[in-house]
Amino acid sequence: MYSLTRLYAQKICRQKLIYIFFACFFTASFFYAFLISTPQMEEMLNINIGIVGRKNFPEFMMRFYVGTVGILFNVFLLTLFICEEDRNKMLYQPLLHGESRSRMIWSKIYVAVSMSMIFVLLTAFINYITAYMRWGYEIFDQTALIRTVMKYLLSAIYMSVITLGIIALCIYTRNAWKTIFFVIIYLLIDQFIYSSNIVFLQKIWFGYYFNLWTFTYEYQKIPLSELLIGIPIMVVYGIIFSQISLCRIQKIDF
Amino acid sequence: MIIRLLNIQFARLKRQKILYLFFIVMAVIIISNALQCAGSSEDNGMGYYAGGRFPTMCMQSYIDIIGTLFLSFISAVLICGERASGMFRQPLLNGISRKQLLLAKTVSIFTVALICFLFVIIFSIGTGFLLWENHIFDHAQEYFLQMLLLGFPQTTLVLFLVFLSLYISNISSMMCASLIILLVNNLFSQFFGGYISFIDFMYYLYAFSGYNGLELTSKIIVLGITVNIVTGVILVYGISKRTNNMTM
Repeated sequence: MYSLTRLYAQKICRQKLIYIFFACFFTASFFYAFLISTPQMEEMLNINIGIVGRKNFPEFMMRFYVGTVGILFNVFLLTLFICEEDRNKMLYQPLLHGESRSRMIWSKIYVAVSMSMIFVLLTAFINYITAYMRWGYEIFDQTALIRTVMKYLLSAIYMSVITLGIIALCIYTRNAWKTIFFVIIYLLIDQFIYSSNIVFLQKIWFGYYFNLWTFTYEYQKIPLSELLIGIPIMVVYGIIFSQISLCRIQKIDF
Repeated sequence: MIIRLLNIQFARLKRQKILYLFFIVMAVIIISNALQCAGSSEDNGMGYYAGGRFPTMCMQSYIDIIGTLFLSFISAVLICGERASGMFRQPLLNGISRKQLLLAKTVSIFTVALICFLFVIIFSIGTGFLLWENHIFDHAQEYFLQMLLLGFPQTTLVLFLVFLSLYISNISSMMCASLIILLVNNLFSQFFGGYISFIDFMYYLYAFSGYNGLELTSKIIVLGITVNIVTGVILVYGISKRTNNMTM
């Protein structure tokens, strides 16, 4: 692995908050798996265990991470990773050691995108473990398993695009609170577009496809046509965001 | 001296554009909630809150995540951000004591919390009045009581956030820690409300706002106020200890 990338990866791995967050996520998943079966809980949380339990449980729990929480967690980590480094005058340190700006930003991008993908896969792993502890082999229904794994992979793509967007924002604003604020605005706009009937906006908005896959087709197979449109749109957004980061980093006056 | 210090803190807060953006975002959320409620039937989740219960719904959505994260952010900016930039110790050079400085910061964060909360209530009643006219006052007694009771956990929350900010060195870590605490608290409130109601002040953010259909009984009210006062006293003690020991 390229040394700068390894250095950034080590820096991310030293963040204790990540381990605390996933320990909490495991606890949450465990409680949901074991405690939602009671009639009082079903009524209180407005869910039907017949639908969300067993083979569908990992898919049910997916929305807890890849929705608002996962995006907020990512933005907090990335502002720590980029904006705080910039404020501490650590961002340009590799440049003093002969690295180019583009190599530095690409290293950051590799690490951040891998991190966001690993986090999604880790949540899948945690949810399958807790579901297995609660329902045993009942969770391994072939059709549901393939469908759920595919949805997790699609979520990983979506989270990577979001990560690229956050990196572009961090580099553009160079300010933690502004980045956090714009991400919250994004979350609100995303909800608005998904629930509105503005077809043109929905067609070009990458978040819409993710909402479609996660909520409209929840516990159902996603039609191939939706995938064929959604994935390329996400990839295009990803390329645009990474290009913005690359262009901006060349112009930054450290 | 303390009044002058408070004026400086308020002047600094007034310059924070995010405060005004927060009001805009909250207004958009309230209007969008109102339109969704108006378009839903009575047996639907949203339809239940149409009319007299609409301010309760807005209070719940404010307390759930947005309001708490926003207050955490303000605490982070005023304490962690200033400590990181070396501005925190500037007033100390002018003869102000550490306690006075922390008191001024706590009072200013508390004022922001109060203004934001009142904004949510007043704006939701105003929006509700436009949509449902006098029906917005059908459950006025209920939501005014909730509003008054929520003052206790909100005050303790401000103290808690100040306490947390004194231990965390930057804005992002503070926000991340707040998010994790919020999630854990939400989880425990849902599953173990009966047990944690004896120790967790944040449980009452949900209990006093009728979250998930929680019923407001006199036992809960008395217990909630007691837990919040006790936690508040412990936090004040913790803040003063930390203030004396910390490196500025």
